[in-house]
Amino acid sequence: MSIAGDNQQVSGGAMDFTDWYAAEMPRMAVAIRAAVLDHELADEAVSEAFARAWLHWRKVEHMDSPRGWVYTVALNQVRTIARRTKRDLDAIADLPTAMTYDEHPSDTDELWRAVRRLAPQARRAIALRYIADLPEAEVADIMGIARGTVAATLHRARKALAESLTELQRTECP
Amino acid sequence: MNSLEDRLRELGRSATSEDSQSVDAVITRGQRLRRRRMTTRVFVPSIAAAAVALVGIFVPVLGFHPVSTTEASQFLITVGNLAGAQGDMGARTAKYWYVKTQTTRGNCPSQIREIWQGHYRNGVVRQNFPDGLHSEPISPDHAGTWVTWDELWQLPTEPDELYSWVFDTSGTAGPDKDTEMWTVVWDLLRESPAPPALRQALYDVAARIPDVSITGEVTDALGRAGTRIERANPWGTDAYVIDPVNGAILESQRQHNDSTGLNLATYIMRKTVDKIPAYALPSNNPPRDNQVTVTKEELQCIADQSTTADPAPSAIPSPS
Repeated sequence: MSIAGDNQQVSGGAMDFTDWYAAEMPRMAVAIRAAVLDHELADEAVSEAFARAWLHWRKVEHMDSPRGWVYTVALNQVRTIARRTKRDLDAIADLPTAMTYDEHPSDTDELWRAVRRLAPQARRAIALRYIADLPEAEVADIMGIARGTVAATLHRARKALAESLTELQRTECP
Repeated sequence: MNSLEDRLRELGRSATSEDSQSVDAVITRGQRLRRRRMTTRVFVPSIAAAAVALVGIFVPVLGFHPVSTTEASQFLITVGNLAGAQGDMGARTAKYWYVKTQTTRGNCPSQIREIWQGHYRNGVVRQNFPDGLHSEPISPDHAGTWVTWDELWQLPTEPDELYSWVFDTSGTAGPDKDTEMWTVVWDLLRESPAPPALRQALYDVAARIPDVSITGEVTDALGRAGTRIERANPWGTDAYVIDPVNGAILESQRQHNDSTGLNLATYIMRKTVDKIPAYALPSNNPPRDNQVTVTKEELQCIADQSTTADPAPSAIPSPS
Protein backbone atom coordinates (compact mmCIF):
# COMPACT_ATOMS: atom_id res chain seq x y z
CA MET A 1 0.00 0.00 0.00
CA SER A 2 1.32 3.37 -0.90
CA ILE A 3 1.67 6.22 1.51
CA ALA A 4 -1.22 7.83 -0.28
CA GLY A 5 -3.46 5.04 0.82
CA ASP A 6 -2.49 5.48 4.41
CA ASN A 7 -4.33 8.69 5.06
CA GLN A 8 -6.82 11.12 3.67
CA GLN A 9 -8.26 8.57 1.30
CA VAL A 10 -11.93 9.16 1.46
CA SER A 11 -14.44 6.66 0.33
CA GLY A 12 -18.09 7.06 -0.41
CA GLY A 13 -17.86 9.28 -3.46
CA ALA A 14 -15.65 12.01 -2.08
CA MET A 15 -12.52 13.01 -3.92
CA ASP A 16 -9.39 11.03 -3.37
CA PHE A 17 -6.35 13.14 -2.66
CA THR A 18 -4.05 11.08 -4.83
CA ASP A 19 -6.33 11.33 -7.84
CA TRP A 20 -6.85 15.04 -7.30
CA TYR A 21 -3.12 15.59 -6.94
CA ALA A 22 -2.38 13.69 -10.14
CA ALA A 23 -4.93 15.79 -11.98
CA GLU A 24 -3.91 19.17 -10.61
CA MET A 25 -0.22 19.07 -9.80
CA PRO A 26 1.42 19.11 -13.26
CA ARG A 27 -0.53 22.10 -14.48
CA MET A 28 -0.09 23.91 -11.21
CA ALA A 29 3.65 23.34 -11.19
CA VAL A 30 3.94 24.93 -14.60
CA ALA A 31 1.54 27.76 -13.79
CA ILE A 32 3.31 28.78 -10.60
CA ARG A 33 6.67 28.61 -12.32
CA ALA A 34 5.29 30.95 -14.94
CA ALA A 35 3.83 33.20 -12.28
CA VAL A 36 7.02 33.67 -10.30
CA LEU A 37 9.76 32.56 -12.71
CA ASP A 38 12.08 31.21 -10.04
CA HIS A 39 11.78 27.45 -10.42
CA GLU A 40 13.21 26.54 -7.06
CA LEU A 41 10.97 28.99 -5.27
CA ALA A 42 7.90 27.92 -7.24
CA ASP A 43 8.46 24.21 -6.76
CA GLU A 44 9.01 24.62 -3.05
CA ALA A 45 5.82 26.65 -2.71
CA VAL A 46 3.77 24.20 -4.76
CA SER A 47 5.06 21.25 -2.80
CA GLU A 48 4.22 22.94 0.49
CA ALA A 49 0.77 23.92 -0.75
CA PHE A 50 -0.12 20.36 -1.72
CA ALA A 51 1.30 19.02 1.53
CA ARG A 52 -1.03 21.38 3.37
CA ALA A 53 -3.90 20.35 1.13
CA TRP A 54 -3.22 16.76 2.12
CA LEU A 55 -3.05 17.73 5.78
CA HIS A 56 -6.39 19.57 5.61
CA TRP A 57 -7.92 17.32 2.99
CA ARG A 58 -11.13 16.63 4.86
CA LYS A 59 -11.88 20.31 4.68
CA VAL A 60 -10.24 21.15 1.38
CA GLU A 61 -12.07 18.48 -0.59
CA HIS A 62 -15.40 20.04 0.32
CA MET A 63 -14.43 23.57 -0.60
CA ASP A 64 -16.11 25.21 -3.55
CA SER A 65 -12.75 25.31 -5.29
CA PRO A 66 -9.96 23.14 -3.92
CA ARG A 67 -7.91 24.30 -6.91
CA GLY A 68 -8.34 27.94 -5.99
CA TRP A 69 -7.41 27.20 -2.42
CA VAL A 70 -4.20 25.38 -3.27
CA TYR A 71 -3.14 28.08 -5.74
CA THR A 72 -3.72 30.69 -3.05
CA VAL A 73 -1.67 28.74 -0.55
CA ALA A 74 1.10 28.29 -3.09
CA LEU A 75 1.32 32.00 -3.84
CA ASN A 76 1.20 32.79 -0.12
CA GLN A 77 4.07 30.35 0.26
CA VAL A 78 5.98 32.08 -2.50
CA ARG A 79 5.84 35.31 -0.54
CA THR A 80 6.68 33.60 2.74
CA ILE A 81 9.63 31.68 1.31
CA ALA A 82 10.88 34.73 -0.52
CA ARG A 83 10.83 36.64 2.73
CA ARG A 84 12.42 33.84 4.69
CA THR A 85 15.18 33.36 2.22
CA LYS A 86 15.56 37.10 1.84
CA ARG A 87 14.66 37.01 -1.81
CA ASP A 88 13.04 40.08 -3.20
CA LEU A 89 10.10 38.69 -5.08
CA ASP A 90 9.79 41.53 -7.54
CA ALA A 91 13.51 41.56 -8.12
CA ILE A 92 13.35 37.87 -8.91
CA ALA A 93 10.51 38.44 -11.27
CA ASP A 94 12.35 41.24 -13.00
CA LEU A 95 15.63 39.42 -13.44
CA PRO A 96 16.67 38.87 -17.03
CA THR A 97 15.11 35.78 -18.48
CA ALA A 98 18.32 33.91 -18.99
CA MET A 99 19.12 34.07 -15.29
CA THR A 100 15.82 32.73 -14.08
CA TYR A 101 14.30 30.38 -16.56
CA ASP A 102 17.10 28.75 -18.40
CA GLU A 103 16.29 25.16 -17.52
CA HIS A 104 12.65 24.97 -18.49
CA PRO A 105 12.06 22.49 -21.28
CA SER A 106 9.86 25.04 -23.04
CA ASP A 107 12.46 27.74 -22.79
CA THR A 108 12.79 28.07 -26.52
CA ASP A 109 9.12 28.48 -27.01
CA GLU A 110 8.26 31.98 -28.11
CA LEU A 111 5.16 32.08 -26.04
CA TRP A 112 6.99 31.19 -22.86
CA ARG A 113 9.54 33.84 -23.60
CA ALA A 114 6.83 36.38 -24.16
CA VAL A 115 5.12 35.43 -20.92
CA ARG A 116 8.36 35.89 -19.06
CA ARG A 117 8.69 39.40 -20.43
CA LEU A 118 5.44 40.49 -18.81
CA ALA A 119 5.33 42.63 -15.69
CA PRO A 120 4.94 40.56 -12.50
CA GLN A 121 1.23 41.22 -11.92
CA ALA A 122 0.37 40.69 -15.58
CA ARG A 123 2.35 37.48 -15.66
CA ARG A 124 0.62 36.15 -12.55
CA ALA A 125 -2.77 36.99 -14.00
CA ILE A 126 -1.92 35.22 -17.26
CA ALA A 127 -0.52 32.23 -15.39
CA LEU A 128 -3.62 31.85 -13.24
CA ARG A 129 -6.26 32.68 -15.83
CA TYR A 130 -4.94 30.75 -18.80
CA ILE A 131 -2.11 28.41 -17.86
CA ALA A 132 -3.93 27.29 -14.72
CA ASP A 133 -7.26 27.86 -16.49
CA LEU A 134 -8.95 29.34 -13.43
CA PRO A 135 -12.09 31.47 -13.75
CA GLU A 136 -11.56 35.21 -13.65
CA ALA A 137 -13.38 35.52 -10.34
CA GLU A 138 -11.03 33.03 -8.72
CA VAL A 139 -8.02 34.81 -10.14
CA ALA A 140 -9.32 37.97 -8.50
CA ASP A 141 -9.72 36.20 -5.17
CA ILE A 142 -6.30 34.60 -5.35
CA MET A 143 -4.52 37.79 -6.32
CA GLY A 144 -6.53 39.85 -3.86
CA ILE A 145 -7.65 42.35 -6.47
CA ALA A 146 -11.01 43.32 -7.96
CA ARG A 147 -12.41 41.29 -10.81
CA GLY A 148 -12.45 44.37 -13.00
CA THR A 149 -8.77 44.87 -12.29
CA VAL A 150 -8.10 41.29 -13.35
CA ALA A 151 -9.96 41.83 -16.60
CA ALA A 152 -8.06 45.03 -17.29
CA THR A 153 -4.75 43.40 -16.38
CA LEU A 154 -5.46 40.47 -18.66
CA HIS A 155 -6.45 42.77 -21.50
CA ARG A 156 -3.19 44.69 -21.24
CA ALA A 157 -1.22 41.48 -20.79
CA ARG A 158 -2.70 39.89 -23.92
CA LYS A 159 -1.87 43.02 -25.86
CA ALA A 160 1.68 43.03 -24.54
CA LEU A 161 2.04 39.34 -25.33
CA ALA A 162 0.87 39.82 -28.89
CA GLU A 163 3.32 42.67 -29.37
CA SER A 164 6.10 40.69 -27.78
CA LEU A 165 5.41 37.66 -29.96
CA THR A 166 5.49 39.82 -33.05
CA GLU A 167 8.77 41.31 -31.93
CA LEU A 168 10.26 37.89 -31.20
CA GLN A 169 9.19 36.57 -34.57
CA ARG A 170 10.65 39.62 -36.29
CA THR A 171 13.92 39.16 -34.37
CA GLU A 172 14.28 35.46 -35.01
CA CYS A 173 12.93 35.23 -38.52
CA PRO A 174 14.26 38.20 -40.44
CA MET B 1 -3.88 29.18 -35.73
CA ASN B 2 -5.28 28.99 -32.23
CA SER B 3 -6.04 32.16 -30.34
CA LEU B 4 -3.53 33.50 -27.91
CA GLU B 5 -5.76 32.38 -25.05
CA ASP B 6 -5.88 28.84 -26.41
CA ARG B 7 -2.13 28.73 -26.82
CA LEU B 8 -1.67 29.87 -23.24
CA ARG B 9 -4.09 27.26 -21.98
CA GLU B 10 -2.20 24.64 -23.92
CA LEU B 11 0.93 25.52 -21.96
CA GLY B 12 -0.89 24.33 -18.85
CA ARG B 13 -2.67 21.40 -20.45
CA SER B 14 0.55 20.03 -21.87
CA ALA B 15 2.20 19.87 -18.46
CA THR B 16 3.01 16.33 -17.46
CA SER B 17 3.78 14.57 -14.25
CA GLU B 18 7.45 15.04 -15.07
CA ASP B 19 6.93 18.60 -13.94
CA SER B 20 5.87 17.55 -10.46
CA GLN B 21 6.91 15.65 -7.39
CA SER B 22 5.53 12.22 -6.67
CA VAL B 23 2.44 12.16 -4.51
CA ASP B 24 4.29 10.09 -1.93
CA ALA B 25 6.85 12.86 -1.50
CA VAL B 26 4.11 15.41 -0.96
CA ILE B 27 2.27 13.20 1.50
CA THR B 28 5.47 12.58 3.39
CA ARG B 29 5.84 16.32 3.63
CA GLY B 30 2.26 16.58 4.84
CA GLN B 31 2.95 13.98 7.48
CA ARG B 32 5.89 16.06 8.68
CA LEU B 33 3.55 19.04 8.93
CA ARG B 34 1.14 16.96 10.94
CA ARG B 35 3.90 15.82 13.19
CA ARG B 36 5.03 19.38 13.68
CA ARG B 37 1.48 20.30 14.58
CA MET B 38 1.53 17.48 17.07
CA THR B 39 4.78 18.57 18.58
CA THR B 40 5.28 22.27 18.39
CA ARG B 41 2.04 23.43 16.81
CA VAL B 42 2.37 25.67 13.84
CA PHE B 43 3.63 28.74 15.49
CA VAL B 44 6.42 27.62 17.75
CA PRO B 45 9.31 29.39 16.09
CA SER B 46 12.28 27.48 14.92
CA ILE B 47 14.70 30.07 16.15
CA ALA B 48 13.38 30.38 19.62
CA ALA B 49 16.24 30.69 21.94
CA ALA B 50 17.44 29.48 25.22
CA ALA B 51 18.17 30.34 28.59
CA VAL B 52 15.07 29.65 30.58
CA ALA B 53 16.31 27.27 33.17
CA LEU B 54 13.97 24.39 32.77
CA VAL B 55 15.17 22.72 35.88
CA GLY B 56 12.89 23.91 38.58
CA ILE B 57 9.99 24.79 36.36
CA PHE B 58 8.14 21.82 37.64
CA VAL B 59 7.60 21.93 41.31
CA PRO B 60 5.94 18.76 42.40
CA VAL B 61 4.08 19.08 45.61
CA LEU B 62 5.65 17.00 48.30
CA GLY B 63 4.04 13.62 48.48
CA PHE B 64 2.07 14.05 45.26
CA HIS B 65 2.00 10.99 43.07
CA PRO B 66 0.66 10.36 39.57
CA VAL B 67 -2.94 9.34 39.73
CA SER B 68 -5.09 7.19 37.57
CA THR B 69 -6.77 8.11 34.36
CA THR B 70 -10.08 8.04 36.22
CA GLU B 71 -8.90 10.85 38.45
CA ALA B 72 -7.45 12.69 35.47
CA SER B 73 -10.81 12.37 33.76
CA GLN B 74 -12.58 13.77 36.78
CA PHE B 75 -10.11 16.65 36.88
CA LEU B 76 -10.73 17.43 33.20
CA ILE B 77 -14.48 17.42 33.73
CA THR B 78 -14.08 19.72 36.73
CA VAL B 79 -11.89 22.26 34.94
CA GLY B 80 -14.22 21.99 31.96
CA ASN B 81 -17.09 23.09 34.16
CA LEU B 82 -14.97 26.01 35.33
CA ALA B 83 -14.02 26.95 31.77
CA GLY B 84 -17.66 26.76 30.75
CA ALA B 85 -18.59 29.25 33.44
CA GLN B 86 -16.23 31.92 32.12
CA GLY B 87 -17.38 34.82 29.97
CA ASP B 88 -16.96 34.68 26.21
CA MET B 89 -15.23 38.10 26.03
CA GLY B 90 -17.50 39.04 23.14
CA ALA B 91 -15.68 36.58 20.92
CA ARG B 92 -18.75 35.67 18.88
CA THR B 93 -18.58 38.94 16.98
CA ALA B 94 -15.12 40.24 17.85
CA LYS B 95 -12.84 41.45 15.10
CA TYR B 96 -9.63 39.85 16.32
CA TRP B 97 -8.59 37.20 18.80
CA TYR B 98 -5.27 38.10 20.37
CA VAL B 99 -2.98 35.51 21.94
CA LYS B 100 0.39 36.32 23.44
CA THR B 101 2.67 33.38 24.09
CA GLN B 102 6.13 32.81 25.42
CA THR B 103 7.74 29.97 23.56
CA THR B 104 10.79 28.06 24.64
CA ARG B 105 12.44 25.28 22.78
CA GLY B 106 14.84 23.09 24.68
CA ASN B 107 17.59 25.15 26.20
CA CYS B 108 17.16 27.98 23.75
CA PRO B 109 16.18 31.43 25.01
CA SER B 110 12.49 32.13 25.31
CA GLN B 111 10.78 34.45 22.93
CA ILE B 112 7.42 36.12 22.55
CA ARG B 113 4.95 35.34 19.84
CA GLU B 114 1.85 37.45 19.28
CA ILE B 115 -1.05 36.56 17.05
CA TRP B 116 -4.06 38.61 16.06
CA GLN B 117 -6.43 36.11 14.47
CA GLY B 118 -8.83 37.93 12.20
CA HIS B 119 -12.50 37.08 12.29
CA TYR B 120 -13.51 38.88 9.12
CA ARG B 121 -10.20 39.86 7.55
CA ASN B 122 -6.55 38.93 7.61
CA GLY B 123 -4.82 38.77 10.94
CA VAL B 124 -1.16 38.88 11.80
CA VAL B 125 1.38 36.69 13.53
CA ARG B 126 4.43 38.46 14.92
CA GLN B 127 7.35 36.34 15.96
CA ASN B 128 10.98 35.65 15.31
CA PHE B 129 11.47 34.13 11.91
CA PRO B 130 14.91 32.98 10.79
CA ASP B 131 15.54 36.40 9.32
CA GLY B 132 14.41 38.28 12.36
CA LEU B 133 11.36 39.52 14.24
CA HIS B 134 8.59 40.60 11.95
CA SER B 135 4.91 40.15 11.16
CA GLU B 136 3.26 37.89 8.65
CA PRO B 137 -0.36 38.10 7.55
CA ILE B 138 -2.61 35.16 8.31
CA SER B 139 -5.93 34.37 6.75
CA PRO B 140 -9.23 34.67 8.62
CA ASP B 141 -10.29 31.31 7.30
CA HIS B 142 -8.87 29.36 10.16
CA ALA B 143 -9.32 30.31 13.77
CA GLY B 144 -5.96 29.01 14.84
CA THR B 145 -7.18 25.57 13.84
CA TRP B 146 -8.54 24.04 10.68
CA VAL B 147 -12.06 25.26 11.34
CA THR B 148 -13.07 28.85 10.83
CA TRP B 149 -14.01 31.20 13.63
CA ASP B 150 -17.71 30.96 12.83
CA GLU B 151 -17.55 27.20 12.38
CA LEU B 152 -16.00 27.01 15.82
CA TRP B 153 -19.03 28.73 17.26
CA GLN B 154 -21.34 26.30 15.50
CA LEU B 155 -19.71 23.12 16.78
CA PRO B 156 -21.89 21.00 19.06
CA THR B 157 -21.55 21.74 22.74
CA GLU B 158 -23.36 18.62 23.86
CA PRO B 159 -20.50 16.31 24.89
CA ASP B 160 -21.74 13.17 23.14
CA GLU B 161 -22.33 15.05 19.91
CA LEU B 162 -18.96 16.75 20.13
CA TYR B 163 -17.28 13.43 20.86
CA SER B 164 -18.81 12.03 17.68
CA TRP B 165 -17.64 15.07 15.74
CA VAL B 166 -14.09 14.78 17.10
CA PHE B 167 -14.14 11.05 16.38
CA ASP B 168 -15.20 11.64 12.79
CA THR B 169 -12.87 14.58 12.31
CA SER B 170 -9.83 12.69 13.53
CA GLY B 171 -10.49 10.09 10.83
CA THR B 172 -7.61 7.73 10.28
CA ALA B 173 -4.92 10.34 10.73
CA GLY B 174 -2.25 10.18 13.38
CA PRO B 175 -0.53 7.17 14.87
CA ASP B 176 -3.70 5.96 16.57
CA LYS B 177 -7.25 7.11 17.09
CA ASP B 178 -6.85 8.26 20.69
CA THR B 179 -3.74 10.29 19.95
CA GLU B 180 -5.36 12.04 17.02
CA MET B 181 -8.52 12.77 19.00
CA TRP B 182 -6.36 14.19 21.79
CA THR B 183 -4.64 16.37 19.22
CA VAL B 184 -7.90 17.62 17.74
CA VAL B 185 -9.32 18.50 21.16
CA TRP B 186 -6.30 20.48 22.29
CA ASP B 187 -5.85 22.18 18.94
CA LEU B 188 -9.33 23.58 19.46
CA LEU B 189 -8.74 24.49 23.08
CA ARG B 190 -5.31 26.04 22.98
CA GLU B 191 -5.46 29.25 21.00
CA SER B 192 -8.87 29.47 19.43
CA PRO B 193 -11.71 31.89 20.27
CA ALA B 194 -13.90 28.93 21.22
CA PRO B 195 -17.00 29.80 23.23
CA PRO B 196 -17.07 28.71 26.88
CA ALA B 197 -19.69 26.04 26.28
CA LEU B 198 -17.51 24.48 23.61
CA ARG B 199 -14.46 24.61 25.85
CA GLN B 200 -16.41 22.77 28.52
CA ALA B 201 -17.50 20.13 26.05
CA LEU B 202 -13.96 19.78 24.69
CA TYR B 203 -12.66 19.12 28.19
CA ASP B 204 -15.39 16.52 28.53
CA VAL B 205 -14.22 14.82 25.34
CA ALA B 206 -10.63 14.96 26.58
CA ALA B 207 -11.79 13.25 29.76
CA ARG B 208 -12.97 10.25 27.71
CA ILE B 209 -9.60 9.73 26.03
CA PRO B 210 -7.59 7.02 27.79
CA ASP B 211 -4.07 7.02 29.15
CA VAL B 212 -4.14 10.51 30.60
CA SER B 213 -2.67 11.10 34.01
CA ILE B 214 -2.23 13.93 36.45
CA THR B 215 1.40 14.36 37.31
CA GLY B 216 1.22 17.06 39.90
CA GLU B 217 0.79 20.61 40.95
CA VAL B 218 3.39 22.64 39.12
CA THR B 219 4.33 26.16 38.21
CA ASP B 220 4.66 27.16 34.62
CA ALA B 221 7.54 29.10 33.07
CA LEU B 222 5.99 32.32 34.34
CA GLY B 223 5.64 30.98 37.87
CA ARG B 224 1.89 30.49 37.78
CA ALA B 225 0.47 27.55 39.69
CA GLY B 226 -1.45 24.89 37.83
CA THR B 227 -2.18 21.21 37.56
CA ARG B 228 -0.22 19.24 35.02
CA ILE B 229 -1.81 16.48 33.00
CA GLU B 230 0.03 14.42 30.46
CA ARG B 231 -0.47 11.80 27.83
CA ALA B 232 2.23 9.77 26.14
CA ASN B 233 2.16 9.32 22.39
CA PRO B 234 4.50 7.55 19.98
CA TRP B 235 6.67 10.64 19.66
CA GLY B 236 6.95 11.61 23.29
CA THR B 237 4.79 13.20 25.91
CA ASP B 238 2.12 15.83 25.45
CA ALA B 239 1.30 17.74 28.62
CA TYR B 240 -0.71 20.76 29.68
CA VAL B 241 -0.66 22.91 32.78
CA ILE B 242 -4.19 23.97 33.58
CA ASP B 243 -5.34 26.67 35.95
CA PRO B 244 -7.56 24.81 38.45
CA VAL B 245 -9.37 28.04 39.26
CA ASN B 246 -10.80 28.86 35.86
CA GLY B 247 -9.87 26.00 33.55
CA ALA B 248 -7.52 28.14 31.42
CA ILE B 249 -4.58 26.47 29.72
CA LEU B 250 -1.47 28.04 31.17
CA GLU B 251 1.16 26.10 29.32
CA SER B 252 1.65 23.42 26.70
CA GLN B 253 4.65 21.12 27.22
CA ARG B 254 5.95 18.68 24.67
CA GLN B 255 8.80 16.33 25.33
CA HIS B 256 10.18 14.47 22.35
CA ASN B 257 11.50 10.95 22.53
CA ASP B 258 14.47 11.94 20.43
CA SER B 259 15.92 13.95 23.29
CA THR B 260 15.66 17.24 21.49
CA GLY B 261 14.38 18.85 24.59
CA LEU B 262 11.19 20.18 26.06
CA ASN B 263 9.09 22.57 24.02
CA LEU B 264 7.00 25.02 25.97
CA ALA B 265 4.27 27.38 24.90
CA THR B 266 3.30 29.50 27.87
CA TYR B 267 0.11 31.46 27.33
CA ILE B 268 0.40 34.97 28.64
CA MET B 269 -2.78 36.55 27.37
CA ARG B 270 -5.89 35.77 25.35
CA LYS B 271 -8.42 38.44 24.59
CA THR B 272 -10.58 40.01 21.90
CA VAL B 273 -9.40 43.24 20.31
CA ASP B 274 -10.79 45.63 17.73
CA LYS B 275 -7.65 46.23 15.73
CA ILE B 276 -4.09 45.20 15.14
CA PRO B 277 -1.65 47.67 16.67
CA ALA B 278 0.52 49.63 14.28
CA TYR B 279 3.76 48.04 15.44
CA ALA B 280 2.50 44.61 14.41
CA LEU B 281 1.31 45.49 10.93
CA PRO B 282 3.37 43.78 8.24
CA SER B 283 3.73 47.15 6.53
CA ASN B 284 5.71 48.31 9.55
CA ASN B 285 8.17 45.45 9.51
CA PRO B 286 11.69 46.68 10.12
CA PRO B 287 13.94 47.20 7.14
CA ARG B 288 15.42 43.92 6.08
CA ASP B 289 18.94 44.98 6.97
CA ASN B 290 17.81 45.39 10.56
CA GLN B 291 15.86 42.19 10.78
CA VAL B 292 18.57 39.70 11.43
CA THR B 293 18.58 39.34 15.14
CA VAL B 294 19.80 35.81 15.43
CA THR B 295 23.28 35.30 16.74
CA LYS B 296 25.56 32.48 15.72
CA GLU B 297 25.07 30.96 19.15
CA GLU B 298 21.30 31.06 18.74
CA LEU B 299 21.50 29.47 15.34
CA GLN B 300 23.67 26.71 16.72
CA CYS B 301 21.21 26.24 19.52
CA ILE B 302 18.42 25.87 17.04
CA ALA B 303 20.43 23.46 14.95
CA ASP B 304 21.06 21.38 18.03
CA GLN B 305 17.42 21.43 19.03
CA SER B 306 15.86 21.06 15.63
CA THR B 307 13.65 18.02 15.28
CA THR B 308 12.68 18.21 11.65
CA ALA B 309 14.07 19.32 8.36
CA ASP B 310 11.01 21.46 7.77
CA PRO B 311 11.47 25.11 6.99
CA ALA B 312 10.50 27.58 9.66
CA PRO B 313 6.82 27.46 10.44
CA SER B 314 4.47 29.88 8.84
CA ALA B 315 0.84 30.74 9.03
CA ILE B 316 -1.84 28.18 8.48
CA PRO B 317 -2.71 27.88 4.83
CA SER B 318 -5.48 30.05 3.69
CA PRO B 319 -7.68 30.75 0.76
CA SER B 320 -7.70 34.47 1.38
